[in-house]
Amino acid sequence: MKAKTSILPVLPVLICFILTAGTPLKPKVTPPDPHFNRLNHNTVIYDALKGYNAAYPDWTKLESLGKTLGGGDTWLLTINNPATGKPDDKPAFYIDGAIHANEAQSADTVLYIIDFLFKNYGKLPKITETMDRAVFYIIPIVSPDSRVKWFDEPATPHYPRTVQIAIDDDRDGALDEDGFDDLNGDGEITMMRKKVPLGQGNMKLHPKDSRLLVPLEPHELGDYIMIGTEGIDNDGDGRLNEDTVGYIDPNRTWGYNWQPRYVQAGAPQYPLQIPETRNIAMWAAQRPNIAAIQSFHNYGRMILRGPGSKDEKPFPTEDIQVLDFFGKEGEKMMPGYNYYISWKDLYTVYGGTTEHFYGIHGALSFTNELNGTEQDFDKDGKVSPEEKMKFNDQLTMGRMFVDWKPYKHPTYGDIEIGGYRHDTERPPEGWRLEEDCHRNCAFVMLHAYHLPKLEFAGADVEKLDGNLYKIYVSVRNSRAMHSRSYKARREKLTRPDIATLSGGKVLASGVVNNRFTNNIKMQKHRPERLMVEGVDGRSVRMLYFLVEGKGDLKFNYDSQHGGKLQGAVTLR
Amino acid sequence: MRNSIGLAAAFFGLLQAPWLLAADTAEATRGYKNYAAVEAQLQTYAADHGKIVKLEEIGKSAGGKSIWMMTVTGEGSVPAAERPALFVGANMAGYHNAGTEAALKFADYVLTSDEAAEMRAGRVVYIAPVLNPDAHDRFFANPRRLQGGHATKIDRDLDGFFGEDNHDDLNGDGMITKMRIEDPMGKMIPDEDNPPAMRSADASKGEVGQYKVMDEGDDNDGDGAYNEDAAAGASPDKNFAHAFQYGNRDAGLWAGYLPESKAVMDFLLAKRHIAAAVVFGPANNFLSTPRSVGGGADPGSMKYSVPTEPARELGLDPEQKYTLDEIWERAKTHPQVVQNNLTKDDVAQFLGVGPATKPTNDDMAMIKHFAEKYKKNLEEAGLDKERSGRQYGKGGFTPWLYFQYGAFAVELDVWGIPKPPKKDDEKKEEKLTVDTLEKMTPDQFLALGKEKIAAFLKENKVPEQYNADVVMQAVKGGQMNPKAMAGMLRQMGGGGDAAEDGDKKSGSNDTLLFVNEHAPWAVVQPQEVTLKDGRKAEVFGVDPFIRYNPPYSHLEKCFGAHNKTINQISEALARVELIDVTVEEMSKTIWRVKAVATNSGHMASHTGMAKKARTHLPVRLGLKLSDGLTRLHGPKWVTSDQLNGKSGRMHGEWILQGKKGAAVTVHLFSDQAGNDSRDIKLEAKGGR
Repeated sequence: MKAKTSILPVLPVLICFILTAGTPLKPKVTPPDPHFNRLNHNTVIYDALKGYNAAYPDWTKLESLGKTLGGGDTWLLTINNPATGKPDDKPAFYIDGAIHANEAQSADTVLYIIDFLFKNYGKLPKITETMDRAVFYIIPIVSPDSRVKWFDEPATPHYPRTVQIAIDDDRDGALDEDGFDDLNGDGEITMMRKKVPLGQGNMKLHPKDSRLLVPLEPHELGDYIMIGTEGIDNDGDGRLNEDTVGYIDPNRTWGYNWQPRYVQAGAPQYPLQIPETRNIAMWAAQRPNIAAIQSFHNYGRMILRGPGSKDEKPFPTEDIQVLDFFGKEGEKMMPGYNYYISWKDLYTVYGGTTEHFYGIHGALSFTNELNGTEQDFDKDGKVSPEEKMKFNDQLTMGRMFVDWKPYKHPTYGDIEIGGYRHDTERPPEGWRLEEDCHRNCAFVMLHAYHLPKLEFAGADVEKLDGNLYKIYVSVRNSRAMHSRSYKARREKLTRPDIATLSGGKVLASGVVNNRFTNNIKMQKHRPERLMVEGVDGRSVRMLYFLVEGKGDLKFNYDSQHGGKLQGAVTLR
Repeated sequence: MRNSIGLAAAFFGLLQAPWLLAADTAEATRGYKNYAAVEAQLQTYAADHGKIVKLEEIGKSAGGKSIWMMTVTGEGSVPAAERPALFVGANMAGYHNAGTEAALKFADYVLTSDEAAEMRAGRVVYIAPVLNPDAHDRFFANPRRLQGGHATKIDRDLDGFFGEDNHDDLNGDGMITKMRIEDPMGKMIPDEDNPPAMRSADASKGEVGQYKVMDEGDDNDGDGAYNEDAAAGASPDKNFAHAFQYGNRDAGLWAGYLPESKAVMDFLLAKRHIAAAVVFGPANNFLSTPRSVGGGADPGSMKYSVPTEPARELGLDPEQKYTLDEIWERAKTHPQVVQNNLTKDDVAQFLGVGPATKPTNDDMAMIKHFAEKYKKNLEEAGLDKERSGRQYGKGGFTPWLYFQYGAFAVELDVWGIPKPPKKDDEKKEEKLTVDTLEKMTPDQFLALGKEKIAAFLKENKVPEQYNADVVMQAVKGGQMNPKAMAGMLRQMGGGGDAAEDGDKKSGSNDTLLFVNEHAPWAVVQPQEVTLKDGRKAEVFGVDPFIRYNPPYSHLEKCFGAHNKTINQISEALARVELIDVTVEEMSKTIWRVKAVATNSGHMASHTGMAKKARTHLPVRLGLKLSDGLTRLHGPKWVTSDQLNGKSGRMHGEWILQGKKGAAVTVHLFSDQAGNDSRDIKLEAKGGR
């Protein structure tokens, strides 16, 4: 005898859901309306976070996870629909930016995502659905102190990249004593070149553009040298700028597959030694619901996934299939972006963000390298110095390049200082920023939409005799991500899903491999607490219970990455 | 009612007498200090030697206990910051209370002994007797559980419950030993020769397994597994970065995740002058020299793929594999490499070549040098120098001190189960080990014969293609010699007992021999109990702590030899020194200054590992000029990444411009080998 039963979600949750779901949010105060056609300073981004928190106090939590080395804070914004449950009970998406301080627009991209979520809840069904069932943990700026300096103090496109910690880079016993210097006080750290007597140089002026130096042909004598980045030999050791502030690269500090400095440049002395990343890692260790990770960097238009090094364990095929789905869709959504495996296609990174979250917590992770060049006018795959200058002259009307100006250098005498401003090349020009933000936001939304979505797909009850029933409960995952990654399963990183039936006596239980052949993997002990490896993406997992009882039973399914479900099964 | 069988109980036939229980525990721990007593002892040291002792809390354990560091800086002519320092730490393992005792006795020695006068005056000595305070007191608890984890609970069995299936003292004897359950699936049978030990049934002799053997305790959470989720957290002694075990919950989520490991690393990393470290823990690196615990590679012979983008730049094929040398050949002339002064090391980093897995040759030689001294010290104290020593484990504190901090670091177990006296037929033949292999000539090796060589290869898990015939052929042909083979075996991870292996071995015969003679109360003969799940089991075995913490009367004989060994290491530390400074007048205002420095110590200024990993600043030789002087030529610093003991030399030469009589100071700096300086005046005679 068989009887279909309906699985009812718990009523109060349903009522709340109906009352609030789907209608655009009504802010308590006017929400921020940030711009995305120029880079946002930390103060603007933090004011925006406060603004969203004030406008949507029930939906957001703004907290500092701790102080950073330079006295800043690790600000975390949690976005959660309170009507659909507590953050801990939902699949979570973690997003961060600006772990490399000079990669400035990575923070703007994160801000764009926050803004996009709030503006479109209740308007766009996919966004509404995602925000109803998932929680977003967002840290726009991982390395705030150096990002402020990149905006406010003389900087280069590549500096400051690391955190504000004094390290003796040149190992001479003095700390950070020979950094770059803004010699001509123009607020930029550019380059230094010098005209020398003919024959003493290794370069010459470009015949058509005196702003450029070109290498010599074999038959030529040179009359210019490129000295290097703007600065003096502050410590008198004969070298320029060899001990700048910082050294530790926060994206070489994470806890998985970490290696020391002689193996991985930029590494700290032990994993997560610096508060910038330790604050996050210690917090995340208490958030087993974090299922997906997106970290933003620049530059080069890449969607990167691990492994970060070849000595990492290979990823399970079942996880690669999911990663590939996002990566390949991402390539289409973001023209020019390449979906790459870090160590194989780019370079080896030990102690990176994505490896940490995948390797330790089993959460699927991507790092996107934002922005790429649009200066390759002749489409030969390379940007020549002439092309770059043409872009400067014709598209930015000269904004990017600071013309050479004479300067009296203490070591080199008469030199010229000039070159590209710090906010060029790595971040896009303003008019291109918003599009890159949006396309990357859309990539994150695709990933978030495919967070595991667990639903009941019915329960068959088969009466054996008296109060004895066989129950087959189906749990369906309608999205691409598994409710527990295969990395987590293989290496036992996270707790399996747990299915329980209460209200009756569970005599036996198991996971059904084939209902028709009665192929059930029985759990030998503790049948009332059925441990389920997970529900794969786009699949149904059928669970079996042999129960003694009558009337209504309560079914609970608890998945760390897939959320919690409740329901009722009626025995008759 | 559960039984308690101690020897006394058995002897007098007085079963189930509660006071005997207490007597057993007291017997095991008599003389040992619990955490509170250690704290009190440290405070006494601080009170009695206030002038030279500083006691500070460097952090708190997960259970909220202070981790104490005692710094001894005796009166001496050299300021503390310029003295090379020693670090002695103990009981990071948590169950190695013997180490704590040794560390305290060493503190006493440093503070009061005449022998240590030079160490007091010339060194700074850091002593941390209990690095894992939460686990330390388990030795004194009832029941005594051998667990190295700190005081949190984790979910080892991933069932959503934390620490819910701890070991249980089923027979109420105050300690967790083993239990056996009669089971048709069991593979073990009683070892008749060594009761109550168990051994595997030998199918070739027609034996049939009767029992399953596991740790003593119930299946408290009803999941079918016994004691699989102990009520202790991750182990600090597995929570360091060298060969860290990812995914092992007992190791912590990542290296440095636990408060205990983080506290000691933060403290030590802030002190750059620690040249040598001795850890009192379960391993003994002098009785069994360190072997690889994995976690890296050998960059010399391995081949690497070059990632797509750089491969295109270098004109290499991303599908092909190349040696580091082949890649460097292409890379070294690439404009980006030239412009950025990239070295072969930098390129190796890019390729992910990996970290070191074994001590460098020079460091290994130094370990062996001190191992000889150590064995002699043991011998003089009437102790067994032939007994085996365990290896440190993956993610351990000691390998961190060596591989990542850069100190000369060894772990010493203070005491171990002595090697039993040899029976007559065994006396003639020494057991072949990697250490003995290393010292053999090819002829001696071949003389062992095929059978012994095959057994040795098997024991060291040598792949089958290198069987005895192949190896013997290679030795005959000269392509291979015993020394090289020993090196390869060490590289592969052979050449010593792993901590676990050592436990297994000493868990049987040697341990039983020892306890039967010296600590009969520590033996539990099979004793029937009923488990929660209704099954019958028999509790049996040996006090699990006895392998690490013997009766105190045995331990105290060992302190002197260890104090002496550390003192010998202290005496041998590097000391940089200026040995010659000359001034030459080149013209009226032009002067040539030359300086020669050396290291008058026995050890090098930097370990080979410190040099490789650049953990410390180099030795720096330079000048400080008085006003009006200009350095015309010569570097700001002459540096050395490793100044060898005795024979090491550094030369500096400078040409200065300035007036006669002007003052110059020649400086010699090092992190961990002291400093030196000499004030000179620019005068024709030169010199001092």
